[in-house]
Amino acid sequence: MNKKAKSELILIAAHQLKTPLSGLKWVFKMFLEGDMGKLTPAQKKLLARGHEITESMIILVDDLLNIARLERGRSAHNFQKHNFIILVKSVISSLMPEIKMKNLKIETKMPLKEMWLTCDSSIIKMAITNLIENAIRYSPEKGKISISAVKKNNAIEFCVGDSGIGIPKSQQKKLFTKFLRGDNAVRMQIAGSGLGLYITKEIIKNHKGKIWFKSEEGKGSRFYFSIPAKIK
Amino acid sequence: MLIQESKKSFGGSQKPIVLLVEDDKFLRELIIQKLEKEGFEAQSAIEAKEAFKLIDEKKPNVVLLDLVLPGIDGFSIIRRIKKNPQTADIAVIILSNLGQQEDLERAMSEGASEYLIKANFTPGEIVGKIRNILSQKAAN
Repeated sequence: MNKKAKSELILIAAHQLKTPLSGLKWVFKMFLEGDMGKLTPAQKKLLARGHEITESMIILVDDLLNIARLERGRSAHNFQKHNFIILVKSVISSLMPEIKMKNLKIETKMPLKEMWLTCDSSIIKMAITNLIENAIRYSPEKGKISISAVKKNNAIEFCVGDSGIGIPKSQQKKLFTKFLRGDNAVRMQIAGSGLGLYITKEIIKNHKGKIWFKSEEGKGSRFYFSIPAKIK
Repeated sequence: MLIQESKKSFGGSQKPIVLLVEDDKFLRELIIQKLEKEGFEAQSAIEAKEAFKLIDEKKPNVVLLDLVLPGIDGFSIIRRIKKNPQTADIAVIILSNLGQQEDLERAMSEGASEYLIKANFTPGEIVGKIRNILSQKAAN
């Protein structure tokens, strides 16, 4: 089976999986919200776990759908001119509930009000979201996240830094491959599908950019991507 | 606050009518159960023909519409609802697992009031969106 046919198959299978998963999520939520009567604490705990697992499966299916779309290549994207600063600000604002929940401090360094970029805004926002979400996920309570966007040689360089658990040296080489999860993240039971960084890499590749990181276990990580402002 | 206002606006003997157009039996039963519990009159259809018959007969306040349906798709259903002066005022809320930006833009340009992705919303949140739309309509 060629890559395009495989991507199509994943796209259809993943979409079909979302209907029963939505149903399961709704059932768990209806029980947890008391629609089916009062629950004992033990029942509530079990159903909450069921709901959590269903949510993880929905995220996994969404990630597979995104990969299938990205693997179709640049032709599947809608490239238009956008102000990158606005895209970053809208992602930060959509993630504020999670940031507040962990009492994280956000430091932003975006000296320019406008940084125009030819991109597919919906998937560039996905790349920005993935990096900031990782920083939130792997940071301790009251940790610090730094976000910067600067212009360098006709390219936009974006960086997200965290004071989180960092990436073990032995796993750094394989970091952008599918389903890779840091041993330390798995040990600490931090949820994740292991697909986010692969998706981010594919998004940046489809925008003719590059992605890299610096990390030290126990001290935190800094993820960067750079995209040419005008893509031909 | 909006929810309370909505309940007040549609309180009394007349329940707001919601028509759900959904071909999956399991999802249909769950939403109908939730709507009835929350004080709505819930009607359901599996496909377009049945949906239009119920729209004519019941004059729903809101149509909760899936996009991928047997035969005529949800996009064509919104277009027909919005084109007909008798039904153009009915609020249409999309409830679909199609999550691409172009699906959202297409549905909104056809006249949908809201676009909800099934897997990202709970029945309670869907009811909240219906109430918001009903209270906005009542205020206008």
